[in-house]
Amino acid sequence: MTGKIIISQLLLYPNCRAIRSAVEGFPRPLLNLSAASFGKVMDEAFGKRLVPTFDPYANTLNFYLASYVIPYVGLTGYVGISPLLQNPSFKRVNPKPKPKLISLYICELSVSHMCMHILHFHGSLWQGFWE
Amino acid sequence: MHAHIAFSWQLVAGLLGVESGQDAVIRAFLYERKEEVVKPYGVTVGEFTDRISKLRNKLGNEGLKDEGLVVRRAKGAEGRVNGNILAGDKFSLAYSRSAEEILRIVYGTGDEHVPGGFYPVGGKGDIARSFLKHTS
Repeated sequence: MTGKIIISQLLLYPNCRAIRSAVEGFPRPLLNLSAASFGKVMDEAFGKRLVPTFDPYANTLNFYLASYVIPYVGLTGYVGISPLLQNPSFKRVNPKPKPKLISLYICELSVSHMCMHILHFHGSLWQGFWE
Repeated sequence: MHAHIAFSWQLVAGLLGVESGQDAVIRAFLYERKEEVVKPYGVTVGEFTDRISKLRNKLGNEGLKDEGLVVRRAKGAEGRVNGNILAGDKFSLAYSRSAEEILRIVYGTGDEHVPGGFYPVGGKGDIARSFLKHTS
């Protein structure tokens, strides 16, 4: 149940809207978030066909394992792109200042608060951490 | 610093904050269950995350930039722990990936010129399109 509450909160973050309002936007690419698409990732991760095929929607744990696939990749991408923002050739894709920024920071703040809450309530997380 | 560059920095910093929050929450949830066996595969949650992280390293093709929830002690924080709730380099800083590496991973093809996976026809942004041979 906690899992469902956390995921539903993450899904509600409207940062796509902030990006689109800042950089004019471009058409949303075709996405394949089907169960089969995640099943294929897991088959490739294990180097063999899992039987039955991994289903990200089967239960909460599977959903979290599927959710693990993307965020760290995006995060490393933001780290990697930051030096390029000083390059004048990127001027074309750079946005004009808009007051939407503050909402992004509120967003970030609430996420860090959420993390603190979760770590606080799940005290067992730290048991056995220093092995 | 020009205003547009400052704004881009702030946007990226803001997105980074939210993205790392999401990653942290997911990793925290899975870390608590790292010994749990994923049915019916008989494989632990920890091994699942290790396999996924290794796949991302393989597809990105730029060395070790991703770690699962359980690592060898030498790779853990300050070389002292084998729990790895957050992935980071030897200074516990987030790893960095280029646009090409990201595309190789999310396409699942290991090639920024060949779309697939979660993006069957590729990305639509200027950077992603610049790598596609036939852009419409």
